[in-house]
Amino acid sequence: MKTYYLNIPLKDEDIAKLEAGDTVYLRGKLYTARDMAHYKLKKLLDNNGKFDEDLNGQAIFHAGPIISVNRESGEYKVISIGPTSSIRMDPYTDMVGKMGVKVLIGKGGMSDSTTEAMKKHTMAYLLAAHGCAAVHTQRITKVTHQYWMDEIGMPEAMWVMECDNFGPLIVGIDSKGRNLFEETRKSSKDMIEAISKQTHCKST
Amino acid sequence: MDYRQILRDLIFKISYEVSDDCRCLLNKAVEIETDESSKMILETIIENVNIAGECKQALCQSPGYLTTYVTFGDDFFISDLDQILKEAVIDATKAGYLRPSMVDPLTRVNSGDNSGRGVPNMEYEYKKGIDYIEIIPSIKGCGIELYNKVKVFTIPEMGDNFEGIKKFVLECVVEAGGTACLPSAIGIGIGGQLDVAAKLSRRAMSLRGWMQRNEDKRLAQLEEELLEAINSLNIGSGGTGGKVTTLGVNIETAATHTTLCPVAINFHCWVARRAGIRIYKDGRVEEISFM
Repeated sequence: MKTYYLNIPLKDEDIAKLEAGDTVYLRGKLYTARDMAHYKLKKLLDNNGKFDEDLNGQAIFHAGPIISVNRESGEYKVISIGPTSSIRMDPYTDMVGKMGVKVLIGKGGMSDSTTEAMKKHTMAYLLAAHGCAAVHTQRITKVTHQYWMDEIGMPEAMWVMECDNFGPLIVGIDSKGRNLFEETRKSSKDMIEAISKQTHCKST
Repeated sequence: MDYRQILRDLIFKISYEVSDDCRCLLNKAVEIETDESSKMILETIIENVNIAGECKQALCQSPGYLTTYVTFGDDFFISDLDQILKEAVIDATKAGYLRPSMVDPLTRVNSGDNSGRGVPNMEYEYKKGIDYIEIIPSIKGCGIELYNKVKVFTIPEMGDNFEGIKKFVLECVVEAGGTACLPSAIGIGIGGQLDVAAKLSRRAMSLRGWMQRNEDKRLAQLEEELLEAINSLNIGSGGTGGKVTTLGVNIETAATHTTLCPVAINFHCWVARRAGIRIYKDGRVEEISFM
């Protein structure tokens, strides 16, 4: 298992060399998006709209941060940020892949429909340590702007920020079709029958 | 006595400090984990606990859902307790410890300060003869809530030696996978009707330390057996393989009707954001340990 330090925007060759189980540290721009921001993007594209940002080579972080706004300067600052459960964003992987997004960062893994989309668009899924906002917040250097906060609220809005030394992130799904979460789920599922029979605690 | 200040401090504290049992279990977990990825996750978790505690910074960006357990007797009560807690939550939100996340369940409109109908949730229990009030606020994460389950078993479905129940628990754990913010704790409520089992499942892991076994020997054995069984599934802290999937399994039971056996499985992320105090009638304040 290898460790990579990668700069965003990412190229296809950066992603193609990643294998499930590798460790990644990122530097550059991050776009936060969770349920509602993905929904907003989808609606925009469905209505033949164009998103203001070029997402080619970019990273989406499944996260809903706490942000403070300086009343005088209008500047944003991250108070707390960490990954949310990525599985809810499963239906959107193909959509963001078509827009050129190269990595999705989140927690808990994604399903095999994402694995397929990642193969198709040369993408990877990176697992960030869950519940570790104090650590992740330190890696965010700047918040530049946001989309839709007034409409969908602070956690659901899309925040555009800069990160440095953001990690360790574990490659959970690579662009070659390996999905460690699904592999683990399948092998543990096969064990259930045998393990539930090994019982010592008697009912009578 | 300034109850307002005491309770405000308590709510602030649970946003940046895990309970003592959780810290101890995480330190043990990182020692025994051999899977490289899961070990790395555990190391980051411990680093996070240290930074959050030292810098008084939110442990997790998600404020989860707060339930406060209150035990009281005949002699002493704090009037307006629910109102005081409501204000403490709003203060913690304004101070950046809790992200505004409470919304109307149907319209999804966010109140902006974590206030709303029915929150923070309060669970009261009357105990005869005590001269104190015990207050345990417990914040439980919500991502994993998607995998909680209640099943009302028939007697044949329970199986010999609880095999049916055991299988149900293991299936829930596998289905949840890494989404459970592993290593998790699992509360299991058995008995009553559906609502009783569900409430017991949350109480089981919120009020009792994750290393404390049930006083009933048979239940204690079942807790240990389930813990061992779950950790042999090779799911690990990252959901990508490993030895430590769950830190503790706590079971609480209540009598039920002869026709059925309701079982509720409730997952808790590793972030044990809870603390407890006892305030005595004479003014003494004691902290509760979960060890």
